[in-house]
Formats: sequence, C-alpha cells, structure tokens
Amino acid sequence: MRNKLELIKTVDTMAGEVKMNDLHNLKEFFEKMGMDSQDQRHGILEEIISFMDALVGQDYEKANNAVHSMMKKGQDDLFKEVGKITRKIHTAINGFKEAIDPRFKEIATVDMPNVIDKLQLVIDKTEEAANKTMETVEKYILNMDDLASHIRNLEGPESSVDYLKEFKNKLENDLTGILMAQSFQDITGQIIKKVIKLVGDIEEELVRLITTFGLKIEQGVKTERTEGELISQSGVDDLLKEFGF
Amino acid sequence: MPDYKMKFLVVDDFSTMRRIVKNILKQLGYEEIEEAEDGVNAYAKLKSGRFGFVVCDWNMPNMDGLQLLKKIRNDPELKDMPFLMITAEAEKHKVVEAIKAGVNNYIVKPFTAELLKEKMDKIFENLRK
Repeated sequence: MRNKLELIKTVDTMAGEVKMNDLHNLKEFFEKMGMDSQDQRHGILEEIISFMDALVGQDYEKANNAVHSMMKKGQDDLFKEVGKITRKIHTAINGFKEAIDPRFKEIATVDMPNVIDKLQLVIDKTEEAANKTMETVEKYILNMDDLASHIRNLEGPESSVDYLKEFKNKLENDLTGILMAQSFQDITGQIIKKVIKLVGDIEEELVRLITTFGLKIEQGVKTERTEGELISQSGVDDLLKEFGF
Repeated sequence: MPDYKMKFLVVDDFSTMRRIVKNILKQLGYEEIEEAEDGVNAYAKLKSGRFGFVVCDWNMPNMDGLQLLKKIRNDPELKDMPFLMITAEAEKHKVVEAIKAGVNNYIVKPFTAELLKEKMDKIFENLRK
C-alpha cells in the first residue's frame, strides 16, 4: 500500500507529465518504425498509456483494468498463434488425406496381397515344371549304362555300332545339359522371393500410412479373395454335362 | 473320321502355348493351323479365311477369349464355328459364363495331349448329332 502511494506521488508530483509525454513519443516512434494498429505492441502500449493515465488520475480501478487487459492481450495473442498453427496443421493433414488416392486402400489391402500370392504361384509352378522335367531326364540318364552295355553286345555292322555309341554319348551329354538348365528355377525363385518380401514391406507401410490418415482398413480383407470357387478339369466336365454337353 | 484338312485357328497371347497346341494338333494329324495373339487379330483372320475350328485362350489383351466367343456367336457368318476354350481360368462362375456364351468345350490349363484329343472328338461327336 505504501509503495503504491509513493509511486502515485512520484508520477503525480514530479515527472508525471514528462513520463506521459515520453510514452506518447514512444508510440510515435513505434508508428514510424511501421507498427500498425494490428501490432501486438500497439495494443500493449495503449494499455500502458491508459494505465499511467489512470495512475496520474488516481483511478485505481481503471489502472487495474488496464493491467488485466494487458495480461489478457498477451494470452489472446498466444492463443491466436497456437490456433493459427493448429489450423495450418489440420489443413495440411486434411490435404494429405485427400491427396492419398482412394485406390491406395485397394492396392494395399487387395492388390498387393494378390500380387504376393501370384508371385508365390510362379515359384510353385516353375518348381513343379522343373521337377517334372528332371524326373523324366533322370529316368533316361540312369539307364545310360544299361544302354552302353547293350550296344557293346551288338554284332552288327561296325559303322552302325559306332553310330549308336556316339549317339548315346551325345544324348547323355544333352540330357545332363537339360538337367543342369533346370537350375534356373532356383535362381529365379530366389529373386521372386526377394520381390515378395519387398512387396510385403511396402504393403505394411501403405496400410500404416492409410490407417494413420484415417482411411479405415477393414480387418480380414487381407485374407478374403474376391475370386470364386475354383474347379478342376473334372469339375468343368461335370458342369459341361449339367449343361447337356 | 475327322476332317484332317480342317483349318484351325489357335489364339493365345503366349507364343509358347500356341506352339504347344499347334504341335499337339499336328500330332493328331491336322495340317492347316494358323495363329493369332489376341481376339482382335483372331476375329480379323476368321473373317478373311475359311476356318473350321477355333482353339482359344481366355485372358488376352485387346479382346479376350470370351469377348471373341460372343462376337463369333453374334456373327451370322461365324456363329456355328466350333470353339474350344483352353484357359487357366478355373473359377466355376467363369466356366458357366463361357458355357452360356456358347463354348463347345472347356479345358483347364495345364492340360495333356490326350485331353485335347478327347475334347476334340467330343466336339465333333456333338456336332454330328
């Protein structure tokens, strides 16, 4: 209480007029610096002038209001800025959400799992084919020795026996070549497996991205297939019969 | 007795598959075999040549096998053309779709030479009825 009175006295009796002038000069100075009425400082300066005015006039209520108003102004501006930033973030997120092609969802949940299945099918089918080829080739390769001994037993014209011997050797070489060529399956299979892994990783990231930005992923979509019931050739034949074939 | 002079059109976008079918047909005794890589190409050939039989894949670019089949059945000149579908499409509703579109028989890949022969005989037998 004592401090307040002393301050008022000082402002009132000694330098009140001077200080008020100084404040007005300061306002002019700020205005020259390009401070417009929208500037935060402008408002606070107004409040300070009002505060000082009130003190000079010993209007404590007005001074108190001026102080509250100053505090409020500071907070308002802070809230305003936070609000602006929030709105910007919100707009950016919404824009990004719209930018994500709705097809993304289908790609992530249907197409990519399908691609993985198809690639796996490629591995399985080429493996099956390679095995079948090798099985057949081996059947003959394993009998080459028998063939050689039969040729040795032949007593025909020498030229024919020689022809058969050479034929047998060439055949054996070529069969081995075919057998070796089946190794392609191993090499391609390994590459496809790497691609499967990569597609799987991308799929996971896509799903995460889509979920983050609010596109709902229905659980279980991954395992569902839109394809219908698969049937074998005998199933096809039954159907044909049904239709009078 | 089948007519070995009958002209075949083998339609598939994979040359390997066309080659396999062509070889089997040759083994069966047929000599006149032409190829097409899609439905559009096949239809143009059918319109310009005297063909007696179509062996066709389902999945092809430009015009697929089912579209070709429908086009053939809607064409007064070609509507009675025997049409054998050889395809990896093994879904029941697709087979039904092909039957309704007027396919003469249906083979699911992978297939054997014996099955192709059997189906051809069946088609000729049904046509005679």
